Amino acid sequence: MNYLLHILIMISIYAILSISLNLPVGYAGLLSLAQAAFYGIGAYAVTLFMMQAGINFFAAVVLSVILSAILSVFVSYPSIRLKGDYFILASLAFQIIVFTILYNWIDLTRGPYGIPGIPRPELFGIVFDSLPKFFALSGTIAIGILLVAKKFYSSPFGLVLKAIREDELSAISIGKNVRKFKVLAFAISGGLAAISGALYASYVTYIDPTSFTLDESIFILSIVMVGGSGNLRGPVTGTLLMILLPEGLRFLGIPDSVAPNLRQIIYALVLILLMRFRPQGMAGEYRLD
Amino acid sequence: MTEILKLENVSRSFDGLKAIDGLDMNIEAGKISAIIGPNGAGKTTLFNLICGYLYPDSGRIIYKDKDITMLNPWERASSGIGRHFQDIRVFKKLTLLENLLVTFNDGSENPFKAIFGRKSRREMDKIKIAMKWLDFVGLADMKKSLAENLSWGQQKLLSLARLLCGDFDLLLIDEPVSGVNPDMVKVILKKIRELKELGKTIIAVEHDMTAVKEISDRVYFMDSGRIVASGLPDDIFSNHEIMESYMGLDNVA
Amino acid sequence: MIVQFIVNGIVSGSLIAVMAIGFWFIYRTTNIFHIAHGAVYTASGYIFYSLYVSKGYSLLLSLPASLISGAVLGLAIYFTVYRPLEKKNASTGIKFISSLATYILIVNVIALIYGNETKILSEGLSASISFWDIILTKIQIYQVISFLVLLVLSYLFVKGTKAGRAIRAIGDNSRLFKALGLNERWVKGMVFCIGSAIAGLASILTGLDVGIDPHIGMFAILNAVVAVIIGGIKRLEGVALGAFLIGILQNLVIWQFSARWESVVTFLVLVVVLLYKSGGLFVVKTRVEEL
Repeated sequence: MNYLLHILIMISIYAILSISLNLPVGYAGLLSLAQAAFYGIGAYAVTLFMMQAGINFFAAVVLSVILSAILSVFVSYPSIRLKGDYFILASLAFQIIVFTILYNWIDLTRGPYGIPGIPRPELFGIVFDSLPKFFALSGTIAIGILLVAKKFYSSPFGLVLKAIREDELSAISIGKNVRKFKVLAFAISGGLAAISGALYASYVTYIDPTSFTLDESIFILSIVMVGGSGNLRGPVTGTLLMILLPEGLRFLGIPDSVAPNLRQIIYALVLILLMRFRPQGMAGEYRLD
Repeated sequence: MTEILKLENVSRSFDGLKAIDGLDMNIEAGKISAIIGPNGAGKTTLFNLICGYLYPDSGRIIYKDKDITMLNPWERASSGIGRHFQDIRVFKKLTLLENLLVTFNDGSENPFKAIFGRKSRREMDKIKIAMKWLDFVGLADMKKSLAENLSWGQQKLLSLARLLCGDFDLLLIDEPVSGVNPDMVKVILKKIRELKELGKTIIAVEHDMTAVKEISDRVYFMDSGRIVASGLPDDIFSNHEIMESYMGLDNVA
Repeated sequence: MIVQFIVNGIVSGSLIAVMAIGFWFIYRTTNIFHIAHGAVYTASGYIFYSLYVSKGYSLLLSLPASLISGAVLGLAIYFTVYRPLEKKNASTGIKFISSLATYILIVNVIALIYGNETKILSEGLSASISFWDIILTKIQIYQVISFLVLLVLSYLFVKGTKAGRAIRAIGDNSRLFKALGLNERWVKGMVFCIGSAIAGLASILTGLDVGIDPHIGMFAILNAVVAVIIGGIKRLEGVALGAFLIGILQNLVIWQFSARWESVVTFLVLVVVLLYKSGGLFVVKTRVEEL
């Protein structure tokens, strides 16, 4: 039962992450390898707000979201004009820079030693310290975000994004400030990723930079590519597939020494095959070509 | 006789080749102006310069008495310059209604309004306006179809409807009747005339001389990046020199 | 003291340059962002390990055999992963992800077979020479020499042979290529072979110095990419220059600050150059590219 709840909590955290990356990828058509950086920034920001400044979890989350969104704007605004491969590279550069800072700025983050003892969320006297309670929290937040995302996509804002991804020049010709919309998409994306980070930190109660590496960014991007982007079904499908797959491996009795490598091999194969035969992913709407 | 658009000594080169060469042009408000000329004369480049997709190497572009030479393309669009592309460029995977709804620039596309805004009445008004223009071009009954399912001629009409919905004052129409069957040509030309009646200014690039003769108030002949001659349609078409150089250089109906 | 670090910079620069030249051959011709090049790097190193260390074959046999294996692997990647995507006219994003996934696939297979620990490739070559306050190991000298030889050979190839000119012609999408009368698939296959063999060389040269583990490829390919972008994609000389700039910069950072901040500086430089090349650092005017 505990194991099941753990899986469900991880699914809710990653569902939020994949929805967050869905905006730049599936709507602005920009592949980003920096999502783990915002995930990590959210995690560390919330942790430090809670533990150094004594701020309540929920208030800390709000602050972290704002911080992450602002940083996202700052970084995406100049990078938006980079073409295809170069944009991905720039996002990769940002990811590595953030990771290196998290790892080496020991005074702030304790670097590789990590920060233990992160408190669980508390609200009006309720402490979400048991697995069922935490899942109730993370699941509710995830569903809430899902509903908000749905509203975004069917709103005039969402329509403009769809138009931009359809034909950017045409969108400009009807007066859309394409740059502003792309940056907005990134800002929202950064903010949402920070929420995931906050949930993760408070759930695992210990964070260190190795959870927020380039590999993690690649994993999040893979979820969006495998599941598909440009709608809601895609990221959710992707999350379910990519999280449940390794668990499936465990049931097959694959030894733990081999499992991580095997898992990566399977992910990679799935990705290569999908890019070749079904680039819109399993359930996505937007094809990168 | 107000001047809505003025180009002063505009030049633009690509890789050393002068596409637009010291071009001057005055466009009168409320009239239909046609630009004709051989292929490669720079007509589409001219449109791109006016719209802001390209910036001139030198010269000025003045719209409604404001110097817009350095303005961003979307700012030019929001100040009233609309563009119909040669390759149409409607949003293929959006419905006809959505194609029009997306032209509104009234702040409803703010993401926060998506969560918190009270949208219903605003949305209804927008839909009403959009339907009015869909009706104007005769496509109202296809409002839920995807734009990609329309015929070429219908897509052109949709593009015109988009221009109307977006409330543009100066319409740059690149080849309004190319690739369209004669019946549709009549419809499109009629709509363009109705656009003029609504007070719009139209600049059209067109190769179909009959169409040009039918609706233009003024014709500009463009060659090698400059306006070589301009005047009333009859004057331009009876000018043998121009017609010969035009016909000689290019096979046009 | 600073001289030692500059010399270290030249040595690192040489290694980065070797890798960068290999990547450049492929990128210049095919416009594919071949991140999986890093996996070819790693694989070649491990094949060398199997031949030279595990089986104990001579250097004379192991080295060429490893380079050829690398070339074959690179060629295989081209035909199985990229070629089908090229035929479908897939976007750069899809090619990039496929390349990344290929990297992950190969590197994890290697980890599965060989394990994650560092493998030492050589015991003996660590003899060092010192002069003028500088210390250099023998293998480091080989690294620099290899780079110089490679640079000269590559330069001659690119400027002097028909195939060499074809590389630039295809990469620029120019009509000149048709005039050269070569088969496009053949030329692209060839650059994948050449580029991959060069990656193998870089890997073995580095591995003989510091050993190998399954994750060295990412670091190597990223440095190479930075070098190519900083130095300019169009010309070979630029790539070499970029590599040395990075090598020296990294070592200066290590000398003045600490090794910990080296990646930050490297990637900040990358970002600055990327932004600068796309129209200046502080661009206010948007340029609409796709007309």
